[in-house]
Amino acid sequence: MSLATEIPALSVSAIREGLLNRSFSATELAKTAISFAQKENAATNAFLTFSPERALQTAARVDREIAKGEYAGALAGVPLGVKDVIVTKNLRTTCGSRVLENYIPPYDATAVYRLEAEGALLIGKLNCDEFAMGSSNENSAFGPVRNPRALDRVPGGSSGGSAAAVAQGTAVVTIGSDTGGSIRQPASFCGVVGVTPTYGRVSRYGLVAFASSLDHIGPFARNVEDAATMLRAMAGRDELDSTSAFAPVDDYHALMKHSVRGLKLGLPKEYFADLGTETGSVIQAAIRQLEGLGCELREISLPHTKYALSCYYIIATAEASSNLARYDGVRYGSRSDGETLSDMYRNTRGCGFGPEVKRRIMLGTYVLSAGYYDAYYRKAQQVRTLISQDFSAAFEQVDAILAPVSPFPAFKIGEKVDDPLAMYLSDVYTLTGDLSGVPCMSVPCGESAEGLPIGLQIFARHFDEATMFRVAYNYEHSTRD
Amino acid sequence: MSRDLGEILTYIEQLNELDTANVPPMAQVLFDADETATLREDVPRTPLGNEETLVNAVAAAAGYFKVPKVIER
Repeated sequence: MSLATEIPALSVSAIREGLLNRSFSATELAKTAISFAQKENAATNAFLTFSPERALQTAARVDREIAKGEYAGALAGVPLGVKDVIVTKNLRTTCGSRVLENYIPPYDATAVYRLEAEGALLIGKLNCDEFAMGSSNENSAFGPVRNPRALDRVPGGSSGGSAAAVAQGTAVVTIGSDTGGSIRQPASFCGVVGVTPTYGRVSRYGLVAFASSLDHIGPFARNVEDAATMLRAMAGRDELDSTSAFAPVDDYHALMKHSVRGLKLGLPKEYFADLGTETGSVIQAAIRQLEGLGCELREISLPHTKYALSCYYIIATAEASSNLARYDGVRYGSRSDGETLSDMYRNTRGCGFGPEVKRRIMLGTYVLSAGYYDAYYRKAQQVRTLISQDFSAAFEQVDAILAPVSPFPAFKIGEKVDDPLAMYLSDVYTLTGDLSGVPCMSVPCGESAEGLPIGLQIFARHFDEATMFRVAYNYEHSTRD
Repeated sequence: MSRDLGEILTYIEQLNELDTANVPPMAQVLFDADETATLREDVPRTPLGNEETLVNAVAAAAGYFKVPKVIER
């Protein structure tokens, strides 16, 4: 069997085995993976930039270590793609925006640094909605990404390229960012595993900030085990991010293989009320499957769910309006000239940002403005407390919570671009995870009649990614037998 | 654009259905830790050099960022 034909289905463990058996070298794998990705990318537009030199450099190191019989890392030789909102030293990072079209970061994000330290081969940067604002990847200044499972459909967003590359086979693993559902929703639309870890679990040093109290970095992979390997490599305290947590990182691989018999799984009635759909029946079948494995199901209530969208769009836009103030054409990014400094700022931002980013900056400055601050921003922060308390109360009764990821599978490109509110509603089931900071993930659980992937969402307690992975792993394996 | 913003603002009015008089605001997801836990050792580090810092600027000269004139003579 040739390496080229195996590439689209490779897993982390298969690569490890291949390297240790000397079936192929990391250098051969890097070359084959990059030329495959470059050839296939035209179909989806998932990659914006390729970085063959950087991948080959790490591959050479991995090959030297293996030749000497040394441990080459948990991700030795694994082709990795990185969402283009995560900075990479000397490698263009656009955030899907014209304003950063030529930005070359002078440093690496901690997540990237840690993955490469474990031997991952960074092959390129991945398309996304501009500054991670969007649910379909149609807000990228560099064109939409196509869903590899149905090329006339969106891959979801904002980490559309990250999900599409794993689904298409052009990267074995990728990372993305999630502020309101931007990892789980595209994972669900593309039929791959996507993980939003606990807030603070993975350092955001080098993640271009959108809404700092909600931003997460997390992995995409083709199976639960690979996603856990990725998270483990990135997780843990980083003194370069003061919000990164001290909590110890569990041995996910040992813990996830424990049986789920007796685990209490909560079904929040608010997430199933409007789900008399095809997506609903696929999710229900997955739930029965877990019940069959010995899980105990309980109906629970997360009563403030319906307020999550309003709460989110106040907090996220408020924080974004402040975070995006830095794109002023002075220190980095493009500039549009003007007579005065104010004209220059205005022209730079007017020309550099796309409509969705402008919409959110305006909304954010409005909800923070004098006279409206208490009515909108403070109110939303109070509602965030209520949403968070819903989860704390639920986790006194259950070990994990099951829900849909999205109310519907991947929609057609162009279908929702003219209706921002309809687009926002595609994140209605994912926002609460970011607002409360609990870990959550999407695991593929079936397909619509048209063959579009559907994801099951699993939430767990803060820092209990191990239980989340345990449910996902047991589910995944029960469907393979 | 103004129609979109109007619609979104109308939608988020729904938060007024909730009585939050006694609910503390949540600015951040917080976990138990010492007050000083996030402080690192006070050890000097080498910052990004002047040249590296200016490399992404559209206009720079003599080690500074350049912007349109702001001071009238």
